[in-house]
Amino acid sequence: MQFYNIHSHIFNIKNAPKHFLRLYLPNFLADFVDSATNTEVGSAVFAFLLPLFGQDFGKRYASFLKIGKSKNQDEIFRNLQIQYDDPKLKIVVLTMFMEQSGVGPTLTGYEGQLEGVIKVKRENPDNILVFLGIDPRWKKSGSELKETVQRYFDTKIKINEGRWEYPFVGLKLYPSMGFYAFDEKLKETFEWAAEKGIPVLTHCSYLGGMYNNDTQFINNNLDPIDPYSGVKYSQTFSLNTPPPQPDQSKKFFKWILGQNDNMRNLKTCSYFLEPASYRSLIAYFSKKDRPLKICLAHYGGAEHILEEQQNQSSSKYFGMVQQNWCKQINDLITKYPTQIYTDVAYAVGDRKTHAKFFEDLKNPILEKQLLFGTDFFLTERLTPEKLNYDTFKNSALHQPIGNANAWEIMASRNIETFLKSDYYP
Amino acid sequence: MDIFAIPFLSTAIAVIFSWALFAIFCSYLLEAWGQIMSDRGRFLKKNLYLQLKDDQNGINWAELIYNQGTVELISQDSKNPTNYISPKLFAETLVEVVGSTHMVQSQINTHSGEARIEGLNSPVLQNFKLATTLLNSSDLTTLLKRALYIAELKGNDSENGSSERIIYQELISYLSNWYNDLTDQITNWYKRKTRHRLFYIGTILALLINADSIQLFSIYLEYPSKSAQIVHYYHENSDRLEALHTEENTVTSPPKMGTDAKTDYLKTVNKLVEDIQIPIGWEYNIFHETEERIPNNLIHKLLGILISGFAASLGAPFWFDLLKKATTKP
Repeated sequence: MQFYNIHSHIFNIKNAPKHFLRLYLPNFLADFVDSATNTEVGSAVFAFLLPLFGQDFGKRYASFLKIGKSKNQDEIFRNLQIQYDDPKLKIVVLTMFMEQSGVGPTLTGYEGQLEGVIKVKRENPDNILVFLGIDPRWKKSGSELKETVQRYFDTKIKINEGRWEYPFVGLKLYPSMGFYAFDEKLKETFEWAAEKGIPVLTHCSYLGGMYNNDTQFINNNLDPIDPYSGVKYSQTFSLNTPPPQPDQSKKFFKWILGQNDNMRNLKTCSYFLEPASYRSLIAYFSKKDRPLKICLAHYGGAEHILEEQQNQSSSKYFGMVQQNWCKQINDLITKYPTQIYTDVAYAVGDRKTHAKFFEDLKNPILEKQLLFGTDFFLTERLTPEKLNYDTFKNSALHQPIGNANAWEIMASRNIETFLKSDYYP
Repeated sequence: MDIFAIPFLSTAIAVIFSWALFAIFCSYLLEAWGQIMSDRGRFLKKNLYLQLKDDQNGINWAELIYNQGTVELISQDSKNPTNYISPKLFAETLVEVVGSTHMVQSQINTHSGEARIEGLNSPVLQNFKLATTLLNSSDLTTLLKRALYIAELKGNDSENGSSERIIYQELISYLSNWYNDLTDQITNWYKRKTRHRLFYIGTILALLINADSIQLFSIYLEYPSKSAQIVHYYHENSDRLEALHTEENTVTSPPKMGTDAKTDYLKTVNKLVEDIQIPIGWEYNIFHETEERIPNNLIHKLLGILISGFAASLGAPFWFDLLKKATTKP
């Protein structure tokens, strides 16, 4: 049986925005850490000091920085592969367009990131499956975007004499970079992807991950026209629904550290990620002969998974719908049972979430839509990949579901169904 | 007339020579630090990344060059990149990576079927030429187009050998020359950065060992015998000391100074300081001064230290050159 990890990243700091660390740390500290860890000596000093001051968190952060500062994507991929006990495991690597995130451009350029990942694919053709990250701002028009994506998919790469492979098997979205999945410029690409059966995996974790830090840009783009319904996004809920409001909260310590805008932008970017924002797009593609397969990754995030498990709810969510995101994803899966998937990436690092996943597998609809993924190497800040993988696999192997077990269902059967397309038959 | 007999000139020469010795010492420290931090290799890499970033095509050609096997193999690792990529290797790698990128290949394949340029049999040249026509216009693609244009002109005029081989050689030659010019420019930037660093190192070191230029000048002026000793020492050892710093300091190669030469230099400088009894050394720095010995004019002291830092930033070759000009009879 072939097993998969549906969610991992191997981009390094050169593929990430120039001031990437400023998204998570005060500017002065981010710049200091960035320049200090550029050298062997600096990295060694950090690797020694962080665990001393930050205990396990410090140790994890040092490991995260070390991986991020790897020479290239090859090195990160090799680092990832050795974590697994299954040498045949196929790892889905998600590329990301991060050129316009409000924290500077990347050093390699996005096409540079793609060339790097193709090199890894060429050297590890049987172990890596690549998803092409798309963003409406990548190309000037929707048709140019679709044309570019199509030729990137269609051009096979040479592995050796007599063997050629398609380099990409899926599409990746990261809406918190400042766009909605229903963006007009993505529509043509999605139409083509649906025809070919190409899966789309999109980041969907409440207040988790990267976000756009250009306040003016995100605040001005919160309520665009939804091309699938023909009205402004807010009006897709009801005609009198007020438009999304940028977060205006203030926290003293964040303000002192110059992080108040970051906190606001992170919260405001929740609008772009919210499962409810996919409704019109999903409904549109559900009517096609071959509906667009969409994985709303992370299952809403560990916090929402645990809330949902315990039937709790927060008093306020940043989004148009005041509803737990895990619940929103559950509802979408129930409504579109063959079209919508979710994965357990990142959340899987919190062992308390496992019970919820195994419980969901007892539901005949959810059973087919839950995918295994880890979110390497972003998870390195919390737990080592090997521990994540081993812990979940061991638990899942002991969860019988029908004639199979949770591991076989989540890490093999469901992922194969999700991936199946003209480019991964 | 012997210019060394003029007290003021003798003092000036003694001070300049002291600065030259101090600059050598600062260079040693900087060089050692640079070796530990792989400074040259990182500086070259950083600047190649800056110069070869092609925003119009969303790619950094330097990334592809550094990740291409032949260049990757000569670097220890990403944090210790090589400080020397030969111009030929650079040019050959650039020509190869530009044409073989997926970005270009995907356009070749959909360009009315599979695009081909008649008359070119070499796949490398085929891909490269197609790349120059398919990539978006940018500074980098302009360079590549120009390189190919010149190479084709020369190749088509050639009477020796196949024109395709000549075109390739000329293309590599053009890009090698361009890379040489670029590394010369990067060397200039590196020298500027080195001067800044020498200033900081010189100032800190001067503070720590009390290398106060104003104090030195006063001592040499007050005690002509000391300046005479220094001048004498310079006459005796000028060739040997100048030889320590005749090698060109570039971004691709550090100045070559043997361990023996360094040891010899440190020994002689130590002996000189002891012999002429000037207040230079750790025990003389202002942090060791007792309250009553704290200099009356702290600003004077700091100014003297800053002057020493500035002297270090100009580098030993500058001071030796000046000394040579000042002491050579016309």
